[in-house]
Amino acid sequence: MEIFNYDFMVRAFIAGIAIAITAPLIGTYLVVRRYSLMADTLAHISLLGITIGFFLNIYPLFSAVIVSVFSAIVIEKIRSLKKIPGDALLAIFISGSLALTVIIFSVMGGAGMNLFAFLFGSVATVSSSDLYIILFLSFSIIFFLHYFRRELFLSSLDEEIAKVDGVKVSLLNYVLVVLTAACVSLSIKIIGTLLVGALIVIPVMTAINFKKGFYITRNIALFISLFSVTSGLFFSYYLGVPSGGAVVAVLLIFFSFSFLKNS
Amino acid sequence: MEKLQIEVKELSFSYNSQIVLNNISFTVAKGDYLGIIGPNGGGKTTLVKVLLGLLHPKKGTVIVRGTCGYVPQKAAQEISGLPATVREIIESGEKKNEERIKEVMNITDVEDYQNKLISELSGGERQKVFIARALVKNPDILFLDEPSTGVDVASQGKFYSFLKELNKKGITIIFVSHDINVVAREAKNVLCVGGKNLCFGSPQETLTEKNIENLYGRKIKFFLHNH
Repeated sequence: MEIFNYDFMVRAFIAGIAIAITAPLIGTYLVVRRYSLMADTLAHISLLGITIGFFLNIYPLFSAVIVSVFSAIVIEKIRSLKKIPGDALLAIFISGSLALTVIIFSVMGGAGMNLFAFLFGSVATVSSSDLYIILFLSFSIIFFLHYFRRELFLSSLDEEIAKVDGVKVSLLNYVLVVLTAACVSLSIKIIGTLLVGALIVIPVMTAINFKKGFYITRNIALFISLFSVTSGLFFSYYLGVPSGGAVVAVLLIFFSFSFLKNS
Repeated sequence: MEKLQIEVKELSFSYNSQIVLNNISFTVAKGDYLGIIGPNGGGKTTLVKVLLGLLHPKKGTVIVRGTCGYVPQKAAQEISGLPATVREIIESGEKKNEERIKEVMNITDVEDYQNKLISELSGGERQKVFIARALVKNPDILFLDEPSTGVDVASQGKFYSFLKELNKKGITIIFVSHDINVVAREAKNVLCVGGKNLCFGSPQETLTEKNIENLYGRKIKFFLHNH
């Protein structure tokens, strides 16, 4: 296939598959805990991290992961204090991070940063270094989610039951948001800041419409995500459209069918 | 001498400056069937959470001997968005022990709908699933917070007979209820929480008009059964 004659497309496919596996696995736990907006919030914060990276001339993916992981811990800490409604807290972080991004972006006058690519994803931007980091972190996230699947299931079912069963729920919540932050930061190059939330949430919402048990729902979400990302990358290449938009368009077709079937 | 399963000495608990439990002492023997009653906000659920280690006492000592199973107040009513089957929920208690899972599903009569989603079940059926989940670990003590909420009146008799059967098998049962009649009918011992004075003992000893008036601040009619 001609598409695989280009190194950047091969890198985009490998990174895309890693993200397509990781995102819905995390998404399953976020959606059932009603944390869906967390993914979008961390995506906006990651954009701030990338902009800081360009501003300080450090590796943007690294600064994105650091800023979003730090913010995820702060958000979870504030949320656990229960003094601000959860959705309002996330809205503050979304607006705040975007405001800081646009200020830094205008101060540095762009500095070679292709904002459009980071907003909507671009297959051409995945470098070899990006690919190694995406693969390493994706494997780490998948390993954690698999190893602690019972604990994550229990704390999603009922936090008090989980605590009585000896699960360290608070620590688990912190780790989950930190992994979400890492997953979101990794996904930005392929799918873009404005659309990364869709890859985490839509496959899971689509799978839930099939009304199956937890692990079957997770596997359906995984299949939908993999199919959408790979077909989206093909569409992106052959139609010349941003990869993020193409992937989310495929996801939405799946969701629409499952929603109509369920109605 | 009866073996003590729970020992509570001079327990106090407060949320910030609001005192909820004040200097409570009592013991629960192995195999007891204890009903906890009291007014809303009186500290019934708080006491159970302290016994389970979910909340830490500000003062006093709590000793709980044995493993605990817990069915929280809202577990069966407010199902989270989790798309889980009955079997998946029960397995989350103890996945590897298939024999025990089958036994518990049989005891709790949930085998027929083990592959259904929990969200598709009635309140009473969900309650049984959460009890099954708690039982699968073979607990020494089963804590239930308002267990008959969501169970329709017609099924309540059957539900409490089921709890009594579990108790006969040696499981210590501690349940919270706002319904004095249920506690008077079902429990071997009663603990009143939230009044001016703590009362603890058999239903005949504790559920006196004077104690109930102290507890709720007014007279309440109820039926006392001879056990």
